[in-house]
Amino acid sequence: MLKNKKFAYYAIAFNILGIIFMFMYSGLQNDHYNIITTYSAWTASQIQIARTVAEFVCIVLTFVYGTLFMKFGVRKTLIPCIMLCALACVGITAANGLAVNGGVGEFWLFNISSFVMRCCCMCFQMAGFQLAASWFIKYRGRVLGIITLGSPLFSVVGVGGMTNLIASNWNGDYRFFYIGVAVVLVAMAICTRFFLKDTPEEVGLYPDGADTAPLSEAGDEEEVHLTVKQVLSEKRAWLLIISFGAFQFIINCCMSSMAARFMSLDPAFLSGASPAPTVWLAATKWLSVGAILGIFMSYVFGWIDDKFGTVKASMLLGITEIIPVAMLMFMPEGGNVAMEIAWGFGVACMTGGVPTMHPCSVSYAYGRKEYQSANRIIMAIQLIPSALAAYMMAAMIEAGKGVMAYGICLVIIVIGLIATWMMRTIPDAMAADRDFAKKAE
Amino acid sequence: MKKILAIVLMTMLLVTPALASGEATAEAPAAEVAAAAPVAEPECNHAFTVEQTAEATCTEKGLLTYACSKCGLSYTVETLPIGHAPSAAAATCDTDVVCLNCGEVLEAAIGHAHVYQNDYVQAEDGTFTSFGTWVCDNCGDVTEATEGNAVYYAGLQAEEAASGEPSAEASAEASAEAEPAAAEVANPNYDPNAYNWASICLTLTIVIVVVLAVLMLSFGKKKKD
Repeated sequence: MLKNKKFAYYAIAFNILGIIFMFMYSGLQNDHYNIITTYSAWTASQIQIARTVAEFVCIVLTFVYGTLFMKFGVRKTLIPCIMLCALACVGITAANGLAVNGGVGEFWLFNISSFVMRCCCMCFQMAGFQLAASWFIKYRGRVLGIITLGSPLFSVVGVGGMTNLIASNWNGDYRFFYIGVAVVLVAMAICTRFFLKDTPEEVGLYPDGADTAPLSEAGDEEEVHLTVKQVLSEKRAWLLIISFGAFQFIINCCMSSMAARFMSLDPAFLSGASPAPTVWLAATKWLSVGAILGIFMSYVFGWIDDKFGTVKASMLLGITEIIPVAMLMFMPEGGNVAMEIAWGFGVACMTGGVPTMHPCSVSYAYGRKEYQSANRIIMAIQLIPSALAAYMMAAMIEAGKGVMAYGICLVIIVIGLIATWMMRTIPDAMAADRDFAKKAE
Repeated sequence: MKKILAIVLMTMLLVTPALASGEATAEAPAAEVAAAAPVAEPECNHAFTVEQTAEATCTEKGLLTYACSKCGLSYTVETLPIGHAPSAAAATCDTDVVCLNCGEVLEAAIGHAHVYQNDYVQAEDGTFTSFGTWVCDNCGDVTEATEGNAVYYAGLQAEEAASGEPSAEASAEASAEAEPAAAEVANPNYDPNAYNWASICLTLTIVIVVVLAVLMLSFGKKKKD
């Protein structure tokens, strides 16, 4: 891949920018709210209002972004989104509302900024996946494994580091942080414009830096625009929707409910004898360990995808999703260190593996040319149940039915695994160009 | 297969009644007998009178004595405690929850959790005036900054005049001095009001819009080429 100097330049630029895309996506869609919750005078539920609305709007936006990618190209869609995100950062800065300033602020401005930020940052991830699918075939899994390193990086380094930096240097005034993010986003937009191209063909190259066009695309020059009806009438689309819809649903279930679950297993905290949720705070240590492991797991799944095929890698991903669900389900009162370690590892596999394997699976089923026209529909449908996952888990845990809630999650994983297993009947759209196919020859 | 099914069914038939009887026996001792009734003599047609020997309190049981006026037979029956009658659902910052019957304090007042809402203004002559307040996190009770706080500021101004140290220290240190519960400030040199945030935000907004316009226009130019 790196033998072709021109391709190597774009490949390295994409890998670096891809990590930043994922880093920013992970941070701005979710993680940065921890910083606002810590230092603003608004309550946690007030802070989440706009974001919750945006979660539902993002279902439609997935389809809209995908269509815009097809119509105008990735960069022309992505750059305005990056800039809108930068403006949202300025909005959060201007909204103030800091506890250190006595809570004076413009709540309406914060809400608008938060909403815009959540809606726009979603485009970062979709663009990263689209570019990976366009530029790489043989190395697709490993490249996706590398760029998705950015997501757990923000969870581990970003939130903890920034929270401490803001506390020790600016006494809880996070406005410098958001100004800094806005500047980084502007730089990111400039780099995207000048160092990336939508497809290798734009600069006279071929995927993976090959000298010839992919064998699997012989006689298929133009990008295919599948309609919603076409996609939804196909078995392969529904298998993808069910399998990765289930895996994504489980991520949302586990990540949104783990704090509530651990607090429900803390009798001292529940009875009021302990003012702090000590069981949960102790467990977060192992979550950090899990997130660090996740940095490597995304690459491992990508490597398995390249070497052994997408269905095998996806099956393994589904099996590893059982770990965190089972650990949360059977966790005893007061917690258990061994189970918390296993839980952390499972979370790592899940959060690292799904973002890597989802674009791999869509590429496996549809290939480079049909990727986005199918992905926008498949991803949008997958997000519908995922948006309700947090509510389901919160309601069941509050009603004292935590074990049953995680039992339902296990059933959903099994459904996802069955759908993944059925995907083996779908031929790999890029089979002739994949790494594992070459080995089999 | 049939044999296995038959064995399973037989086992279930044997186990189910055993479990059922187990449940029943487990429940039986739960029923408490409040008083042992005496064996009445058949020839007396009893005429009982009831007397309250001991009155039930919030926590103690009461006692009723039944006595037959014909044969003199008597026995006692315990009555359940009446339980506390709380004056409120929960204690507030300065009010206890007490029992309306016995006056016992059921839940002590939780006390105010005042947090210093830190602020001050700097006059043109460089002097400071604190207008900080203590606001209770629980009930919103507001207490103005104390006189002692103002005295502290006066002392600090004098120090600043002598040493020429940055004035931002005033706010943070004053809040820590005025009430021990106030949050400690990690960086006393930082003053959140020292920057003109409105100008910073406006400038950055203009930069973002201009850069976006240039980047998007550059796509158009490229196409024409």
